[in-house]
Amino acid sequence: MATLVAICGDLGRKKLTHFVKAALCLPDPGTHVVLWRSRSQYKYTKQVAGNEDLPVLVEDPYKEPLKKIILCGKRIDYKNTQLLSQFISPFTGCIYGRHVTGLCGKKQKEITNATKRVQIMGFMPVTYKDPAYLKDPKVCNIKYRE
Amino acid sequence: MKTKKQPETAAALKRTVEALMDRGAIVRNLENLGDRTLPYKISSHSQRHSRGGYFLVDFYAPATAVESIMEHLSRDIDVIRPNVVKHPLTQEVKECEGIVPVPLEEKLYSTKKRK
Repeated sequence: MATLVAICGDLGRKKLTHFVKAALCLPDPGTHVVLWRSRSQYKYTKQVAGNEDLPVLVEDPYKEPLKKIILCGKRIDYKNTQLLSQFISPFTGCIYGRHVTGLCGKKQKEITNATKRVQIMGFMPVTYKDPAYLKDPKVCNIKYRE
Repeated sequence: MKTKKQPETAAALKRTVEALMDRGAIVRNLENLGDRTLPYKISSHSQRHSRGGYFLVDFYAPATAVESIMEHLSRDIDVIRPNVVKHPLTQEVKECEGIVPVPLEEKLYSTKKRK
């Protein structure tokens, strides 16, 4: 369409009118071209988009998947003291908060409940972390003073 | 899960399992989680314990029997700390899609009606 218009522009005025009137525009499928039949002042053809050309509402294809936490979809067993010890402080034995562990609400609650239960049962120490589990990989974002 | 003294464990276990069955519990499985030093010294029945054996008993029982089981176990001298807990495998793991981003701007001001 644009090339046609350019060509028309290049030609002389007289020739243009004839050209425009007799133009055989190859329309894009789905569009019907409306030729402006006035004089050479209007040098362009207007396109009215059909129904298939309107924007289709599609889900954002560049949407990133939701962030998953480390314990997402995994079952927390109260017997798993090693896992639970990773979320307590090695010095005081206090359970880390949500801003430290980075867990979602459900999992944080599950961990705290399991830890309290296991501590009361006499299976896991309360005031300190089991020395065998001190070398575990760090899961929470907490900095210890060296 | 219970902890017990080292000697006479077999007799004590037998006693407790029989007590469970008397109350209408169907014992599925009995596991030994090992003997070790307790994480902290526990005093029960006028005695201070530092070592104990851990045993885990799987059983089906009516919910009303839990109280009587706990009462019986607390009376037993060999049992240091009796505990009855729901079976963890009965709880389903809900499928979590991830942390949904919460629009914090809405939470900044409360939408309550103020006079």
